[in-house]
Amino acid sequence: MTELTLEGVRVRRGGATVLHDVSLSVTGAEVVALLGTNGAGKSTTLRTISGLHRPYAGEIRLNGKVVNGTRPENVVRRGIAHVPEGRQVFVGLTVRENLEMGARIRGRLTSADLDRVLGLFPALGSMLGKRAGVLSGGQQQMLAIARGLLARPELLLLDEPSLGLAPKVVDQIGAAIGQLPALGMGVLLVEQNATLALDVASRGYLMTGGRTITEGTAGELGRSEAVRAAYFGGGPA
Amino acid sequence: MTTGLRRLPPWLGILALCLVVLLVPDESTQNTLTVGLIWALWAASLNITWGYGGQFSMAQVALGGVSAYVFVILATRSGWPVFLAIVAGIVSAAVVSVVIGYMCLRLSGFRFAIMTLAFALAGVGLASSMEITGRTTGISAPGPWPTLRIGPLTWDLNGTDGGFTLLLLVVFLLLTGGMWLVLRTRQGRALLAVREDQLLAESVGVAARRYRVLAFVLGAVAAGVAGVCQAQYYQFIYPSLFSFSTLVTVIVVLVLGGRGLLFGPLVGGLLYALLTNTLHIGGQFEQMIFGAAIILLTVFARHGLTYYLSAAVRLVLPRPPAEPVRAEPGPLAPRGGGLTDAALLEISGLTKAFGGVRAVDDVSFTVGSAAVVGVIGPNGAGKTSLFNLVSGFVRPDAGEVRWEGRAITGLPAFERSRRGLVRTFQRPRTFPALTVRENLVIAAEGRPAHPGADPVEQIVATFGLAELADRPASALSYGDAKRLGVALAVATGARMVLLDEPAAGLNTGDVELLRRDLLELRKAGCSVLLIEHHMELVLDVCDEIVVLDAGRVIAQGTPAEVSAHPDVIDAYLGSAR
Repeated sequence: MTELTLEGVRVRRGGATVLHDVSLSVTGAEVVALLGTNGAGKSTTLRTISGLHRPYAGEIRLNGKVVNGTRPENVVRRGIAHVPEGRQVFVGLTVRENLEMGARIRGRLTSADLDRVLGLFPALGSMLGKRAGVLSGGQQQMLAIARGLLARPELLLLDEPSLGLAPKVVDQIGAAIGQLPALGMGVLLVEQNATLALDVASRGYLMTGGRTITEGTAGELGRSEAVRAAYFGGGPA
Repeated sequence: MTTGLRRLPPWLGILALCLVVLLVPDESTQNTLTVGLIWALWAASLNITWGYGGQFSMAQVALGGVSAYVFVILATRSGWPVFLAIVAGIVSAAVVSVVIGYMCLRLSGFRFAIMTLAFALAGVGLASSMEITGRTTGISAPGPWPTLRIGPLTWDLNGTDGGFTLLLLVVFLLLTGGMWLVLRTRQGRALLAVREDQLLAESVGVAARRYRVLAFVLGAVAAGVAGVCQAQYYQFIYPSLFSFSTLVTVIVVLVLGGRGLLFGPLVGGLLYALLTNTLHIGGQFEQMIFGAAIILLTVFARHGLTYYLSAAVRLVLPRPPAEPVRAEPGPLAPRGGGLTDAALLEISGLTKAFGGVRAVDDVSFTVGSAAVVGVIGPNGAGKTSLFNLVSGFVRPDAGEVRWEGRAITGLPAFERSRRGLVRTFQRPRTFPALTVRENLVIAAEGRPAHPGADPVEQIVATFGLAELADRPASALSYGDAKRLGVALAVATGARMVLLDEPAAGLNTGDVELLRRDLLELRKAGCSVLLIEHHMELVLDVCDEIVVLDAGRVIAQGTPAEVSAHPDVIDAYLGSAR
């Protein structure tokens, strides 16, 4: 089973250190939540894992092997898919072509694949031939998640999957994420909707100022004062 | 790219250096400086249109050619006094640019570049075929310029002793100083706003098209100056002097020196002249070394040399840290208005189809003053399309939008914003290269004057942006950029803000702050039209909710009515009600 570990990872961007000390682990059989305020470094952590930023200190290990500095396309080949925040889709391609791009890493888009993601996002069904650029913001978000799922990775990095989605769809996505470990897919989940995150995750980490400061089961984190302060305490980050 | 707003002082040293070099009576140094300054003038022209205006114009050199030809023809054939002919030349370049500007400025990006290139090529073709321009052979310039006498001082403008070079430097400084002044005005900031994000600029009330024309015309004036100087330097002009290859060199000079930086053109021009004038190795080697130098600089100094030079100067001469401005969170006071029963916004029968799909289908509702109205519905229901129609970014196929009792269906977005109807965007938009505070200054520009504390600082405090105020907006996290978006709309002093998913990407604590701000806005008499999926927030703050599905209104009423409506539960809420 896949196991990803980060130990003391530090990342510098534009002259400033943005990740000071990030340590966490996630396996292919669990949903792990990464919590924290705005600007705590959660998205940067996901981008670092997927090879978009290179750490200047610390280690990223995949199944025990150090993979610091692996190029993004090779990270995907090793079974880690990233669904970044902000609805990143290929706007000039059709919805079906976007989905094919997701399946590309392991072959063709089969009709079983298609049924599976359309079961999750029926709204995309009538849009398959349309350019992704004409979809609404929420539909683009569904497409981005669907594309990530189709790569059938061993580990899925999900950045704010509920962003801009209707409550009913958020429910469905929550349920779908919860089922992924049973299908052999681990998830590292960044989510501002803490209730959703702690509902579907078995455990998680809290980040503040570029550091992972607390670790615990979903239940422990739900009761944690630090988490309450970060999510519910109010006040800008 | 940096704004160049605060970059002048360190450069006084460099200028002093230039003046010292000018006094060196070495002919080869003199020549390098002269050629460098002419390139700097050309690049300054492109810097205005492209670096500050954000429009990649390929007509810059041709516009300079217009000026050069008019100057030479008037001075030699029509016998105009030299200085009058110079002015006429520069004015002609400006006039031609207005004509081209209005024809091309609907286009953007590459289409704009290609259209301007087409005009440039046509211009060179015209000059090559007319008798009066001497066809491809060209025509001679009017000869030496007169000597200036100011009291006991004389200034030989042709100067073998550097008089012409000094003139070029003075002209460059006047142009750059002028641009420096423009950038400190409201118009200058609007110019940068349009460069950074045209849609956002329009949404906060900037007449983007007018500023694009302005950038084009100011650039043409500078090109006119460069054209005249070029003609005087060569004493002879011919069409290929203003052709594509000259344009390419100007682009290289600007990119090397630093686009969007006041002294980028000077550094680029001098460097280019130095490379071409001193590398006399001969033949292909010269070209190769020159090419290699450009490749190295482009790879390792991608912001342009000036950027790194000024960073180095600031290391040696650090600027004292700015005094932190403290302000209390202020009232989010909108423009007058106050509480009335009359509807502020009336939408009737609004319809828009995209490629056969009716994104918005016969939607009608009204929003009163100081009311918070929610717009909810499944993804793809047409909520953002409705915002696009109401805010003037998209024209409806049918229906009407009335604001304060008057039809505004035909008004452009920036006009609606100026009247107090301001929208935010679902994907956060900011002016990325500008700081958070500069972003807010631009948005607050159209705000009615209000006695008391600085509205920008109040907004910074109210929205909790103090720690981020001096960071470029490009460095903000998604949630912070989202918050800045709402702050920008409020900073305009809007009477109604249209917020497109303001809570998306915010954590619970920040949503709580947003809730407080929305209620505060209503208390201050500002209405809110709110697209949001965060149902707790919507049910809590909205006086009324409109539910869209497949472009149509399927329910409308109080939060209690809407959340119990079976169609709404079925289409939208699911178990989350």
